[in-house]
Amino acid sequence: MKELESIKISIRSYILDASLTDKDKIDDATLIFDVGLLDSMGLLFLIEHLNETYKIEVNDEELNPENFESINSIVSFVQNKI
Amino acid sequence: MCGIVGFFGSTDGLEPEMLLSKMLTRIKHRGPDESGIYLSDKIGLGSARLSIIDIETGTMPISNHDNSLWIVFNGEIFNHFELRDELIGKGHVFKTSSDTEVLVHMYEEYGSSFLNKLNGQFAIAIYDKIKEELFLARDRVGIRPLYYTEIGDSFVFASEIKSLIEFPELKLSLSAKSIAQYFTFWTSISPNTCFEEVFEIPPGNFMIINSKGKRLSAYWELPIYKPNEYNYLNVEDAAEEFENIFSDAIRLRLRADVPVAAYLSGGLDSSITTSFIKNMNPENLQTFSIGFDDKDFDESVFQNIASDYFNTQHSTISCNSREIGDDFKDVVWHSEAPLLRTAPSPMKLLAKNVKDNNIKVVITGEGADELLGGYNIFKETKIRHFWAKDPGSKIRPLLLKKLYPYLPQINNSNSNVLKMFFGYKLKETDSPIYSHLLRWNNTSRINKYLSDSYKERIKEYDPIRAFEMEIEGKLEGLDSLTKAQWIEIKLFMSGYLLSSQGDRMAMANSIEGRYPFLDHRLIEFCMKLPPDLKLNGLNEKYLLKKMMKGRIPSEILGRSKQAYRAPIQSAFNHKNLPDYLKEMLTDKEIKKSGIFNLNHVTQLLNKMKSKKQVSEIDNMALTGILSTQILYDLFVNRSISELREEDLIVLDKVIID
Repeated sequence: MKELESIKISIRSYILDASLTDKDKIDDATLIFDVGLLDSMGLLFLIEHLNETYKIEVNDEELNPENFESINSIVSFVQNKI
Repeated sequence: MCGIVGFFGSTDGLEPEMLLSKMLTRIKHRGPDESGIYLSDKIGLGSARLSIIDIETGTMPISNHDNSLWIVFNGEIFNHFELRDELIGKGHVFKTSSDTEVLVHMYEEYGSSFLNKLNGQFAIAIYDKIKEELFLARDRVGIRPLYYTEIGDSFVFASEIKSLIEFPELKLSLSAKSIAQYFTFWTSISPNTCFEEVFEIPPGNFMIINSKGKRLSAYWELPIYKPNEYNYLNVEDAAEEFENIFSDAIRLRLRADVPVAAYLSGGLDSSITTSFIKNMNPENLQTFSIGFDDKDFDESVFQNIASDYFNTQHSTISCNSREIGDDFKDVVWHSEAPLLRTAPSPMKLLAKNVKDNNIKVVITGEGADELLGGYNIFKETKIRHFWAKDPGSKIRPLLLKKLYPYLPQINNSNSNVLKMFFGYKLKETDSPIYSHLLRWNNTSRINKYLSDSYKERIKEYDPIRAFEMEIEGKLEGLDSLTKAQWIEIKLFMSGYLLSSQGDRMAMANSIEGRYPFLDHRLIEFCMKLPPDLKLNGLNEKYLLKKMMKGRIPSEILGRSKQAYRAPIQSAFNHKNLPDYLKEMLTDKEIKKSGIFNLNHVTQLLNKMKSKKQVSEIDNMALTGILSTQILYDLFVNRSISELREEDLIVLDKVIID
């Protein structure tokens, strides 16, 4: 559980940094791409970040928007991979 | 080539001669050879001249036979001999052999409609003493600049904004909306500049200013044709006619009383211009190029192939990241606009080398990409249209893969990634700005760096939507390539390419660029061609390649288009950043200008320091922030030194009326 929380904090902080957004404007269920916090290039950098931080390889089939649409979905994706 | 300045209105409380001297001194790089003014109690006109035609007697200002019309003029009228003959036939008598005098007589004979007869690149100011009326005009596509503002009862104009700041009481401030435009399109939407209340005379327009006010009119519009109006359905006929017009465009642009040289970039366009020049004038052509120490940007191999093939006297210099950083303050001072790329810097260094070789005029290849479908954005549009017809296709988006070899994230991508990147508003193919939606949307993310107060000033303003509304209906029924060309020419070419990367960088070194591809006859011809003769499949500039087969090196004919770019991250590397640029990015300066969000800027700078490779948007954001900070410091905060009496240019001609 503790690990889950720390992943969430880390990913939230990455998304806030990368999207130049205030923390009160986003929650864990916000649809990151729908509201324009990140664009497709942002997604590629997010994947690079996950690779650097958690040593996760994202393969082609997993590269669909559903896996990355919100902080919650990214966290569960990461959790499943590690 | 020259710089012009002036004011119209009451001269009470002004020291008009001193004022014109100061305004001219600020742009003496445009015309270092001689200068002159015309003054009355209503108006002041000034010219700083770079002598190219009629070196002996062409000193400005110049008048008509009865001295009722006075002109200052920046640029060239390439068909001035023919126009002079026409006027002599109508009884006009000339005092000099300069093209400037031809203009004043043309105005006398035809009024404002004389502009349609000009083949040239120009900014013109004519004062009519009898009507007490000022006439300002600018060339069709905006090769030469012309700005104006109003302060109190005075109308003030100049070739560059830096002259305007000498007018008493004038204080510049940055326009938040314009900055949002720059951070989306790389330019502002004409007639706006990045400064509040400073406007340009839009390309292809003239303005009449008199006691009733000011009236702006267009004398030329970029022609656009629907599919049933296209000319030349086969490439051979089109190539023959293209060659006729282009040869004449080159012939006219070789007219000068000083040697004319050429840029040779290693690409298709400058190889074509050089080939045509050599055909007409085989001896002693000097060519110039710039390479980069960083191999990712360097095209020296192709430049050498071209100069060997054409047997020119070639001079090349190499540019490194450090020089780009060191010169950036001066680049911004000359460009007078926020920049998102460092590409203007090497153009300035290149022009300096031309000047060091005692050359004043160069022929250059700009315009071919816009007119003949050379840019990647045209291919991108075509592929997106094709893909939008079958959005589920896994194969169609793969065509996008090779468009941007310098973006590794895309280059190594699979179909899903490409879909995410290029799929933005894929199905909105009916939008007039479909071609540019994705690019502008990506670039506009830079606006996130703006401070709360700037965001508040912009409020709900969305530059993309605003532009879309402005051109609504205008592009209906046109082919997608024509629409994209129209946008590219109107916005990017006039607002950025010919300005920040063109006129300003060349004129900073007193160099005049001449653009045969932008001869209006050639523009009109190309706009009427069927799209397939420009972008054939995904083969860009098809017509030119067909026409030039066997006449330029095959390595150049066969190479894929390389975008002209210059390093950013290494140029602004924190370790060797010049002190001035470092200062512009300090917390103190960011707070002082109030344009950017300090936390976001800090975050970006940290990222640039820690990451080996950052995104294109990060690079553009850094360049945008830095250039805007410099603009604020130089033009708003006025950190520039005041002009002292001993700095002022010496006036060679003073007419007091």
